[in-house]
Amino acid sequence: MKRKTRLICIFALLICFIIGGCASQTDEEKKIIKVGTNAEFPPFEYINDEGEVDGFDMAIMRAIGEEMGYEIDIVNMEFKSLAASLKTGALDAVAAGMTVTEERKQTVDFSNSYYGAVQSIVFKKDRAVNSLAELNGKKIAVQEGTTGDILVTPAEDNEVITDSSTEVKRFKKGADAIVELKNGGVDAVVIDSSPAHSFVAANQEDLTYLDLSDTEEFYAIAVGKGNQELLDDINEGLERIQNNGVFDQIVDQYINGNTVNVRQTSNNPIMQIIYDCKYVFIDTNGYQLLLQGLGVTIGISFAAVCLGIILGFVIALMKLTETRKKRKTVLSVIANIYINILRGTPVMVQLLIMYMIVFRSNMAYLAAILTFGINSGAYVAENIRAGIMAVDNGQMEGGRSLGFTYAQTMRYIILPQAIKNAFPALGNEFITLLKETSIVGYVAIQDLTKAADFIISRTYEAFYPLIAIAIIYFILVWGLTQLLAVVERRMRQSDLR
Amino acid sequence: MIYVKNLHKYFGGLEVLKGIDYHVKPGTCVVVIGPSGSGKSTFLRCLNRLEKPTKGSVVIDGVDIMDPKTDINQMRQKIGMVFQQFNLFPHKTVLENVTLAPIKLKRMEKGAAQQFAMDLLNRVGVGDKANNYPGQLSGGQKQRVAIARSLAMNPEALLFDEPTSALDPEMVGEVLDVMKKLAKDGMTMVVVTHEMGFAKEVADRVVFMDGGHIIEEGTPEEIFQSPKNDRLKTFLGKVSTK
Repeated sequence: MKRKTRLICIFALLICFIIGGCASQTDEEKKIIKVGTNAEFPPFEYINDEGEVDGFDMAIMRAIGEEMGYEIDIVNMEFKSLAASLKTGALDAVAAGMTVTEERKQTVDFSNSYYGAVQSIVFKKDRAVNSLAELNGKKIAVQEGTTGDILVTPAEDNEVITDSSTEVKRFKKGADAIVELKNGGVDAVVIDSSPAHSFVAANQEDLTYLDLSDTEEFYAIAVGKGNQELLDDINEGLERIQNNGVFDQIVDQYINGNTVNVRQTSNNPIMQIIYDCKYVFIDTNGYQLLLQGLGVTIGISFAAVCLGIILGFVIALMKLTETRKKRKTVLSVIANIYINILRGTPVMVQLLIMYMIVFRSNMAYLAAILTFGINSGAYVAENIRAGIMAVDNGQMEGGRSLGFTYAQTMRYIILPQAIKNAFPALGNEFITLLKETSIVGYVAIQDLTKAADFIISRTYEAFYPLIAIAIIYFILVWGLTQLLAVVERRMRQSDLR
Repeated sequence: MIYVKNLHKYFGGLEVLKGIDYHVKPGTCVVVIGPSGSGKSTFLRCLNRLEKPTKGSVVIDGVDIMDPKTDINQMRQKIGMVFQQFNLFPHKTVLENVTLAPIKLKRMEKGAAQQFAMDLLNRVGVGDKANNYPGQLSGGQKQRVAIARSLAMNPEALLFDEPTSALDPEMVGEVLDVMKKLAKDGMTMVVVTHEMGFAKEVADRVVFMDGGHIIEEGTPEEIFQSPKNDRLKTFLGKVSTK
């Protein structure tokens, strides 16, 4: 009987697979492929005015998806994490202006190349650079892990840059490298020609570039090693859009027709500040990014605080079983392990583990809320426990002598006083939590800090957006402080004498 | 009413109670006296199992509170306790201190509980402080509120653990007066105290404890006028018995 049931199950499964396989070939049920990119490489990938990932590569991927019946789900992350994410299966493909190199071929498979590029040196107009060799011994900024990085880093097989005193500053984003150049921190930036041209176009007044014609290389789409089926589909899609004219349209739209916002200038320094602010926050929609980011920061913080309070109470009470029974208990041991692990590892690491390993790069918001909530729970638990321990033992005896159970005494008598004791420390924890959420950008969440990041990479202005978010964070914390003070004053009413 | 049999209590290796046998009759006021460290407070706290006796039995109204099947919380509702440090709940008003247990444990209606609480507070003379917080009261007032709080559960007996020891001298009288009234009204009371005057005047029975034993027991006259035991004589010689 059992064997029969099992056979039927296997058959049913097989039928499901076959139907599923057929369905995926029709257009009705599109297969979703997760495409990773690093939206800091204009015009290939960047955040557009609506706050979405856009660019040449994205348009190419969407066009291929259209042709081949895939739905494209874009995931924005660090450039150097892309290859690793292909390996873990968190991503199906990478479209990030990735240059084909022998080294990368060891870990990923590349499609046919869709774009040829050279490297460019970007420098200030008043300090002309005529060849790559001139950069020996200078300070150079690059985007970490890119071809430019390899080109200027002194190494045994590097024939051009041989001076080991050459200082290479590696940035996560090309735009940050440009900002460094503008601030005078480096002498030049070496980066792919297309972004170099975009950057210079946006900073025509003081920057220019030199294309290094002997460094031609090719961009391609990467897939996980051995994923031949997807690779074939991408190559076929690429060929189709190159033949039907869609590809050329995309080139025209993104690379040739790259428009730049014009910014006003003035000799009056105050007017200049106003023009700069207008450009940074209004003309390029910076205020919208900041508002969205503010909402995300508040949302994540609030949800995490709520979760942290609930977990904190539970963990504190679990740990207190040790005090009550005067010996270790299963619950207190669990609580101790929880507290020690969460206080003993950086929240940044916890966030990456939660997002990349537990959630496999899905549901970043949930991963962030859980991470901060669980992390905060450990601190809240210790604060509440300290608050409980500070309540005089006579209170427990007073409650018990009236006939209250341990739990009732806790609830009606001890905890209300414990919370009052713990309140200043809890307030501290909430403020810390609010500010700590500024690292969620690492899992591709666009919070307040990330919003400033975007504005910097779009406007090459670091000053205004950073000061703006500093002020916003300060106002948030100040508001929270006032709120906590009001609540505390209310709780302290019974202290009147 | 309260039968204590062969009661032993160890704190670690230290034997604090070395076999106590005693019977508290209903409606009597028993005063326990003795030098510090004699075990009198521990004895009192064993009666409602705030301290868990190591051996022996405490039977109240025919129920052994040492029996694991006994609901100790139910039993404690019948035996009120007044502490040296008052142990009022500082986050609640005087009125809330008194009504909390009747409302939560006896499911008494809030209005009725408040009315009863006001009666009790007036009886102990702090009715005018009903809406104040404990932090705003004097020691004597606090202790009288604590007495009202334990009376609010309509207990069959009250335990007093050195109720006047933490008070300024001028406030001792007002608390003892309340206790005297209670005794006169027939409340069963066990009082650990150093107030020999109270023992002489109010107690029905006086118990002298030393070294974890009951050394002598009798009426106030027997204990104070004609003590038999040498240790009791020495003790009485040291304390003022006015």
